[in-house]
Amino acid sequence: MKNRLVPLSIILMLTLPLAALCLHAPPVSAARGASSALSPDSPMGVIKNAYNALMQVLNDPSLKGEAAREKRNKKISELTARIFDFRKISLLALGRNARKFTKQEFDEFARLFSRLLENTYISRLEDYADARVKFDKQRILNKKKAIVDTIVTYNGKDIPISYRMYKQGDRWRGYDVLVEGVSLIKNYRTQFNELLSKDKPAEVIKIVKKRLDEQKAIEGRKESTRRDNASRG
Amino acid sequence: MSVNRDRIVFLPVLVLAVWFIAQAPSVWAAGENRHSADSQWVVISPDDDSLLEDIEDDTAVVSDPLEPVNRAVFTFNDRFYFWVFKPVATGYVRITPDFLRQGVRNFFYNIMYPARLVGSLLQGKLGTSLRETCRFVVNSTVGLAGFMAPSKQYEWLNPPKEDIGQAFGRWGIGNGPYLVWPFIGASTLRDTAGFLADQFLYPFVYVDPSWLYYPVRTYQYLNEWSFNIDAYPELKKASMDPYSAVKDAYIQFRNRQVNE
Repeated sequence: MKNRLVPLSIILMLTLPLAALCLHAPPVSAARGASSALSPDSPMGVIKNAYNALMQVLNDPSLKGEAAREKRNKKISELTARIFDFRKISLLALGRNARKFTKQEFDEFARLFSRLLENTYISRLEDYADARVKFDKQRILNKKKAIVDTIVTYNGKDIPISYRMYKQGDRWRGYDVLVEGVSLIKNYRTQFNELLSKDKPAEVIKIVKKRLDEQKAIEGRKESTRRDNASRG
Repeated sequence: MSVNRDRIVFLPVLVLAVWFIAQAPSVWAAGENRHSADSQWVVISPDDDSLLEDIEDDTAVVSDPLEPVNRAVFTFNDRFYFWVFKPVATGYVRITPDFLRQGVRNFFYNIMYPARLVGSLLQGKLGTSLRETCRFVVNSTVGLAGFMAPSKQYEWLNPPKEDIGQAFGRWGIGNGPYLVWPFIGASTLRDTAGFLADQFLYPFVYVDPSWLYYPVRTYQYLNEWSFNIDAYPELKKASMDPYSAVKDAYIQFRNRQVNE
């Protein structure tokens, strides 16, 4: 026992000062991102304001439950549309394959796919409701493109989430989300590419519709369990 | 004289021929051009084109010669996820206090330090290696054998996670074919080699009895994924084809790690 304690204590004696040194070494920049008033029209301002408003809606007790559902969904739709240009996203997700669509088909596709994306985004927001979001920085790439970097801390883990924005007139609008470097649009484009290499646009629209219906079914179930829990508690 | 008359006949023929040739492309193209000219079809504007350029780079493409096998394994993993993993993990979360799960997670992350160190040394990243080492020292001592992670308070002590597969990528070795392994999931030939090399730097490989590795590793996975039980179901229900969605996300994610 003694034999073992001696090397152990030597190791500890050596490493503890080292640990202390390590803890002192890093010059952590605390001021970063904290200052500089954010213009509401800047890319980050657009995201931040809409995000905060969304969180307010999701946490608003008067908007909870089945009765307020329609009202809540309408507000959520308005706010997510402030962040994202879903029609543009639908076009980019199809890539050059979009030219295989008639305008009518594309309208139908964009309508359904936008709903799917909106639902997915909201469902993620609800899951991350108690996460901490840091609006880290905005990178203006050129007159028409920018990237907004945020860091979401959830379950003790930092997840980098970035928004790709483009300028439409004088308004910045989001057209892509990158989660840990994985671009949502690229991911969808790969899938649509594969589908459209063998199927017609009408078939793709059908698949999007099917996914949307499945989502609705799950959402309905979630809602009813939430109601059960509420009435029980 | 006769020459002149020939010329006079020839001239209108020539004019006609030139006119016909000039007209021809638009006549031929009429069928093809219907796409962009006719207002019925979707048109991609130059502005959209510039947005598409970023999206259409093909670095995220991976060869998948084993697709039928991969898809079968993917389906197996999918069933395993919903029938076994999810209920077990949900039960585990219910009976385990959060701080304990977090502690176990920290412990395992800390103990995998050798693989991360070698991964970053192989890429010649001395700064990252130093940061990793400092992190290990701090968390192993002040952090009570790695169960706590005081390093989280310091940005400098949170270097990006390296592994040997990333080092291979840095050296210019391509992904190779895409592979889906039972239980483990998405990988490529390169990352599989890297993963196996990582295992030799996993301390529990050297613990006696050696079979202990498997339950320990399984528990580590269970604990790690217990923080993200809904991640896969969420992805699945938002995707058109879950198999290609996971494949693309994996390749994009690894590309970023390699280039970081």
